[in-house]
Amino acid sequence: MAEERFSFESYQDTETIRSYLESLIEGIGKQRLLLAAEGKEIELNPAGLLRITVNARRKGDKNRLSIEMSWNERKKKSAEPDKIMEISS
Amino acid sequence: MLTFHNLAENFRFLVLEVADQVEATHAYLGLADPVLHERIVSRDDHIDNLKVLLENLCFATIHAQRNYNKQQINLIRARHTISVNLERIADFCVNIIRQTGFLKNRCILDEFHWEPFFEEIRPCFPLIIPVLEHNDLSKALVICQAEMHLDDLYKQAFDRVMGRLRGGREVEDLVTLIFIFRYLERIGDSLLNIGEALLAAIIGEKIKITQFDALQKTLSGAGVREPINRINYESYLGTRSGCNISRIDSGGDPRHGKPARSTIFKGGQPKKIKRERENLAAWQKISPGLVPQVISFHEETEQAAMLVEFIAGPTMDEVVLGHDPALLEHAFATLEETLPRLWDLSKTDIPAPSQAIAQLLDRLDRIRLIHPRLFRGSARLNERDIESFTILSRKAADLEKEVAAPCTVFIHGDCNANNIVFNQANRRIHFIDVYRSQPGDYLQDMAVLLVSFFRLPVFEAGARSRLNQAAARIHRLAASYAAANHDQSASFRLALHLARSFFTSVRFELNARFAREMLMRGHYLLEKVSLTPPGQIPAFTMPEEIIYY
Repeated sequence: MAEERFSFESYQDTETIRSYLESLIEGIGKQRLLLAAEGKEIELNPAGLLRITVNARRKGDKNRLSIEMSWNERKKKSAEPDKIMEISS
Repeated sequence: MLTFHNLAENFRFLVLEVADQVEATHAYLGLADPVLHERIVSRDDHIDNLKVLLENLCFATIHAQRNYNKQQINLIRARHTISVNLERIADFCVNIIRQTGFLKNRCILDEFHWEPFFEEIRPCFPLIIPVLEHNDLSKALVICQAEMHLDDLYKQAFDRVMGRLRGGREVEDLVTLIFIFRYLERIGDSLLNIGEALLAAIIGEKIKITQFDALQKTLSGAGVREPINRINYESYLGTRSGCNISRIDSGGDPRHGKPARSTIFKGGQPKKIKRERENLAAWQKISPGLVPQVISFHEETEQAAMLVEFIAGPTMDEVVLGHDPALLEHAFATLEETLPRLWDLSKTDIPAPSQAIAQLLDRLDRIRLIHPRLFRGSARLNERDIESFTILSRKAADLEKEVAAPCTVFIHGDCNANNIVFNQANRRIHFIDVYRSQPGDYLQDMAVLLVSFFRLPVFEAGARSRLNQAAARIHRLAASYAAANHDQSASFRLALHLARSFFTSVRFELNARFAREMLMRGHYLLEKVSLTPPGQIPAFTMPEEIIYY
């Protein structure tokens, strides 16, 4: 199965980071997150049961906060009508 | 058992074999003897094998003899380079005789002067071994000069063939003749490589013949009378300027306790060397003694060279990375006094436009070549657009037009920490490598200096802390000069210049992680700058953390 990935890394101030997070929060609310970089797009649909992990660490003057969400996408119901077993005589 | 004797002996064989191959080619051109043809072709395989054997012996000897000194290693390197070029000459011989097979009228060869080529080539081979054994510089130069003479002969032959081609007859044979002369000319190129390898073995450093010639003339202009092979010549291989920069120690006599005099030799394109000479003179006027004195200067069409005073003392990066707190304090206190004084001495009230982004765009191709993936493309986080490097740099370039330093000062132009020397004896700061000096914005020099501390690939905590402290002092110095001169856009311009320096510094940084770190900082500064409305430029604050690692 082909893997789709999106990655973005930059230095920012807290104000910009807030605007990034707000945009993501809005997407989570709508259950549709569209992430794009270098002409490639990935669409995620967070819904149902999600796992969230928040990790924080401080060591000397180095700090880290990571927020991770993961979930399994629910399989869409088949559009085909259920097959009916027919018995004939 | 592997011995240097094997190497020397086989090397001697190769020289003799190739010399003989050249003799046979000469004979074959005079008299198309099929036996000679057969001999030349079959001997070529033997020469190939001998070259491979010598290559193996060279590497194996270096590997096995770990106690060899630099001079001995240089001799092996020279033998290796010479072997490769001798084998190439033998190949050219085979190519020449094969080309004669295409001549419909073989007599046409005698209508052109091919003999003089051999008169230049043949005497070179008996010189190779004596030069290596006796460090005979003049004979090495004879080999180098053969290439120049062969080039002249080729030009004459080429012009004659062209003249005949215009007649429109014997076209195929005339084209074949050009190929033959071209191979003879290429033998000259290989002889030059051999000559330069011999020069390197004698002098101890790789040097091109044009630079060697300039070195000799410059030393002679400076009154140095010693034979050049008695001079200690040490090339600065780390230089990226395209010039040959070497330290030369001459005139010393250990028997009488007379120390050698150290000078710096610079050889390169006349434009660069002349510009550096002019800048040295300009700095001498502003602050006598700040830069090295020019001892002698020599210029030719394609090469210029000068000998300048060697300034003793640690460079500022050595001061910071060293473990002498007193030296560090003296050096920085002197620097903090010197820089504003130099700015004041050279200051005019003409505003200095900022040109950081133009300088960055100028070097962009080279940076992208080394780190193509580290530039930000356009991105999107849901509804939030993130601008690409291209857009950010365009916006920054537009905003840069709005700002200028309130005054113009004479700047170093390449103000890296390793271009500033602290002389402890006279407690003075000296500038070196002032080729790029020009009137400009003092913050350009400050940004270059700040990033030159940042980009040092030193990650040990103590050294990093000292580098950060050095950066903090430079930043304070810049801020204080800005305040004293009512420089309202200083923070904004410093951010532009820092962005430029972070980007351009990665041209020489192959550590991808460290390069990424610098490019992310460059992108951040560009983004911050590009978000500033023109009216808000005086209120712009440069986040100081960006200069600390």
